Amino acid sequence: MNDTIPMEGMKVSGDLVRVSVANASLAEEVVARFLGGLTDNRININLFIGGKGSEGTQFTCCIAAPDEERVKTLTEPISDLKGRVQFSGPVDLLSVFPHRFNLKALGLSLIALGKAKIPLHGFCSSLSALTFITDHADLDQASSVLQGSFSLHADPPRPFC
Amino acid sequence: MDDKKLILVVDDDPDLVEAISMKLASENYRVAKAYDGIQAWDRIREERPHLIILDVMMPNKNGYQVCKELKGDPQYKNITVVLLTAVGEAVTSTNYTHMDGKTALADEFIPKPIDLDSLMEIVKDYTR
Repeated sequence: MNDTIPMEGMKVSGDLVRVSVANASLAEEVVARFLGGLTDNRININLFIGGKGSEGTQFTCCIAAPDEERVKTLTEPISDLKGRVQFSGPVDLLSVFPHRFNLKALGLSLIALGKAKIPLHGFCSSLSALTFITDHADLDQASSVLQGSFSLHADPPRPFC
Repeated sequence: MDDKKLILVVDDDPDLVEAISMKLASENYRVAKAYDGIQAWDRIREERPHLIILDVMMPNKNGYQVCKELKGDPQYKNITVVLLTAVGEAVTSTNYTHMDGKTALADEFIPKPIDLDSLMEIVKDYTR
């Protein structure tokens, strides 16, 4: 397949940690309390992916690595989160933009990352960008794979943080 | 000849660039995009926009620098610049100062988070 989709740029948000509750379902108010704690303490959430089902809510979010200890402290008093919250090793967010609402762009990205055997911890789309959560150790390879999957703007899209 | 006015939108947040661009396009403007200060200068030279919506905090070259250079260049100083600035509290936590904003000589300052309707009013005022 020789289809290439034009993209104007690529953005990296680095030095992050992934916080997730994936193997348990939480009541909505527990998630709200967790997020409220982050807000009250002005802790930035770089990305939040949540899913709500009949049994409750699960989520994955990314925060700056230096905020990890503060977030751990904030989760301690929330009994429903005890033993359920996992903090990952260093991760990065890799975004390509703009997707122009072309679903093929997501397909191409997933196939390319899959073929390269790059673990993906989550992905989401926004108004302009497709964003992927990858391990920091895989950043360079993931970045090359995505750059190879799209026709990037001639006026070089410097990957920026 | 296409008489639609060309607006350059510069921000390192692709979503904000897209949101502003969509709004401008719906108001019948042509739109050029850039995601950092260096790319902004490339677009300015290539396309000579009527107005620039310019973020302050960007990688490679910040919005104050771009604005200052633009307003100091006889060839481009008449291009209107609308600077998107972080509000007071946020500004003090960065390397940027209010003095940078004053010396950058922008035509308008809009605090972030921006109100798209107010931004459009300003764009319309300057492109009539």
